[in-house]
Amino acid sequence: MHAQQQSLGTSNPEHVDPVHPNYVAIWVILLVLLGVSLLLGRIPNAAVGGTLIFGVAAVKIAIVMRYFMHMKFEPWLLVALMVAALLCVLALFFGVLPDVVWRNGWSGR
Amino acid sequence: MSSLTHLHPLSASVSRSPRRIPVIPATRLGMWIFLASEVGTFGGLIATYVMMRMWHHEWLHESAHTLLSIGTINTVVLLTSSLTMVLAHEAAEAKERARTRRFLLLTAGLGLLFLCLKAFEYSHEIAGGHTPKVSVFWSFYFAMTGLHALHIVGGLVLMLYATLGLRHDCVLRRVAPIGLYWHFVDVVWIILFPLMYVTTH
Repeated sequence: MHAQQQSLGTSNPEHVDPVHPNYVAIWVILLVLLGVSLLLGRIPNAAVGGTLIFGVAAVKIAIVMRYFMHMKFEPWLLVALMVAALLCVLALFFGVLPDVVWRNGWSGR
Repeated sequence: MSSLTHLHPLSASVSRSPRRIPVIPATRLGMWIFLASEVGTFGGLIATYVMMRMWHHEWLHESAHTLLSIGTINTVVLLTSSLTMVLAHEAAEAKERARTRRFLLLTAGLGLLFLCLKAFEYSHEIAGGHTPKVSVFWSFYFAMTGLHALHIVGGLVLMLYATLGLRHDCVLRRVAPIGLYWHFVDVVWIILFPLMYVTTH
């Protein structure tokens, strides 16, 4: 198997050396997004501010997973594994949420 | 054939057989399975916290006592450690042992700095009377950040292990799964930071 991997990696005429992303630039972008989320924390409307802050957090997570964890280059099976785990968490959340809201109300904060 | 050009940017270790069955190194596959289970662990805690937050209106006032400045510095520290970790991974793939060791030690140092700042934060909060017994918010706070800190400790042990055994090629290859683990710990903190610090001030 190792020999097969080597041959796939070196002797294939279509093989091109992958271009590494500029990791320092990605790190700077992440720091800028951190600053943006801190500024968004000053928005008086908690619902709007909170939504935007978690939106920025989602972008940061996507950047880390794509460029640092190289998720883009992983086989679809591994991506499906992580998506399945995430779906289980979302099912837990949205399965229980109506009961929590129905019984206790929603603070909206 | 075109799929062969979409190899991992740092290695050719994920390749495809002629029948397009992914060939994944066991250590990397094992790490991804572990991380999927971690999504359940942290995801369950975070989902429960968010639901409880909707219920407990008074948490808004309690959570205002968390230290935003320390949380922000710790976020910068972890993001920087992710950068040094990916650079260690890059060096390991190029079989540059000295550079790999340097970046791994730098990452471990940043992880240690994170723990020191966290310890300072904990001591400040406990001294202010904010202990896990006081309220459910502080129970969640210490449980979630404490579990995250334990993962940092685990990462430090893995990095120390990798640094000590770098002269062996097999250990050099293990830098990739250790990197995955470290970046995941970073991802968890990216969620915990707004949840515990930013939306509360």
